[in-house]
Amino acid sequence: MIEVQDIKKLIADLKEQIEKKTKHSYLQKYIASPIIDEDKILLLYSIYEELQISREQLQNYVITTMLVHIALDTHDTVPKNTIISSKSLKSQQLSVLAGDYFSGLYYYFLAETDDIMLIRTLAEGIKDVNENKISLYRNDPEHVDKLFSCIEKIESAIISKISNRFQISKWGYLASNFLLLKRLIQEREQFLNKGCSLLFDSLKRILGKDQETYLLNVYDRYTDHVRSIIEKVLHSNPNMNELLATRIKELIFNSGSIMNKIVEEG
Amino acid sequence: MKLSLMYSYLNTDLALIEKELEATIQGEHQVLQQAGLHLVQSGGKRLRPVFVLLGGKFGNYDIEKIKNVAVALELIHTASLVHDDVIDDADMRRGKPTIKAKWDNKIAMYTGDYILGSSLEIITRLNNPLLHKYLSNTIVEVCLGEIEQIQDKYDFNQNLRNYLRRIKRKTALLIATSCQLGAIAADVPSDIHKKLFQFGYYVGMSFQITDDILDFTGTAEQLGKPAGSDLLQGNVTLPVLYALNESTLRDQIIQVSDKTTPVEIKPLISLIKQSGAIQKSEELSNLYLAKAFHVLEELPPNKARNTLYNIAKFIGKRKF
Repeated sequence: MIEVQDIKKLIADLKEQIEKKTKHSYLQKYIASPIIDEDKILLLYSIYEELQISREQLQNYVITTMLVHIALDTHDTVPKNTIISSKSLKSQQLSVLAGDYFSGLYYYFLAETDDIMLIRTLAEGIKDVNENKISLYRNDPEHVDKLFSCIEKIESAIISKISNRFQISKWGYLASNFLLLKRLIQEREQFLNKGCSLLFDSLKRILGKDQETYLLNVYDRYTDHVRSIIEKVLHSNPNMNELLATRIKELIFNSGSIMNKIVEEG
Repeated sequence: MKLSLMYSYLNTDLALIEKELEATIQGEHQVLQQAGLHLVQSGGKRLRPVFVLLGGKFGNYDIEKIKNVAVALELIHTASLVHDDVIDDADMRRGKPTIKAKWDNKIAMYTGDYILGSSLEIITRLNNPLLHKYLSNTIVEVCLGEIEQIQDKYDFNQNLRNYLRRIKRKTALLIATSCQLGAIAADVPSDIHKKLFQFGYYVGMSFQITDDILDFTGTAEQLGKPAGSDLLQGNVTLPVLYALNESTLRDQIIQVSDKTTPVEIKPLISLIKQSGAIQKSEELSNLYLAKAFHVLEELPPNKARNTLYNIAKFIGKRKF
């Protein structure tokens, strides 16, 4: 099995390649560089590693899948209503185009290597993600379970499609819960630090209550549930590389401490 | 002659494409269903699907295969329009409210991305690597062209070459690709599908130049926006480039900025119209049309070739 240091180097190298591919001198002047999620790179690397494909193909798969994620994330930065001030308008316009450009690149790099099947798989993922984004944005979920399921699909529909396509469903299950847990932790931090979070806003609406302790209690119970799922999957997946196993444990520990912290903070 | 009459013999296949468009554009979500229907119903001339079908007529025409190219290209075009309306903050398109106006920017972004996903899902029904190489390259180039358009806004020092490269990316490439991919899906030999690409490219260039002329010569009613809107938004089109060569006009044109109002720009639009810039632009448009006709002569004679000739003639000479 490949050493942890080697995987770290590979992930860093992949990140650098993605940065290079998304670099555009004019875009850089007006919009922030895309955030490249290293956890997603690690997860994708680990999933594609299972396919026993060539190193070159693996890199192309990780890069193009990341381009799709980056494209959709970039479009999420476009505000609900147009901001008229000249600089904001330009940055908004370029965010729209940058997202389209990154989507185009994903197609381009996979077409160059004749990977038509993966083009299709990622396209299906794009549809799913956006359908669920609309659902969340329009406040469709009427139950807590549906809300979390919607978030899970937004975070992991693309990876789920990949794992289904390549018939490695155990990875889909693990990845979905890993990415969901990560988002739940981020939203919780945002809620506590900034007082606003799309997810908590939806939760308030569904539960009909806005008392912080109550909301956090419901939220943390669900987070614990996700954590326990990941722990179970982790035990049943002995082929996982050490770096990913360590990262998952870190995440579980983070979320696992949430309930304890609340009890401590009392 | 009406444009649609020129290819009325394709009506059965176009109806099938229309049906497919309607079925694929609508997602499960109610908003996507409404938005999809809204977009299909306010659809334009469906020029790209027509070019795809006509390209296919040069080979083994199988509508079950070719329809995938036609639908995918129309969806790609539709997705880009939905996002363009966010870029331009446009409330109306073809006389109907845009997705961003009917809902908001967020819904427009998600809908556009959903439609792009649908188009790629459909086009990948065809396992033809060459087709995907050409199409993906076109999509990337179109995006770069749009970025370039924003970069070049209010830049009155740009040259003709710059403008031509921009309209190639913005408009001509997708038309050229439509002609070519229809042919590729019909297993047409490479020398023919490359000529079809050239034809589409020249027609596309002429089409965009005509569009840029009409922005000056059309009425607000015909255009659905006030005449001269391009210059007001900082888009340096061909008539403006020619007008910049006249020193008195140049001094006034370079004063145009994002602070200029529609009332302030009106006299300048009249001066540009009177300057001979429109005639010169028409000449260049005609030159591209002539090149398109020349390429057609090198293609095998058939009904599709005649139709391509008539369509090219129509869109190069159109008045609105």
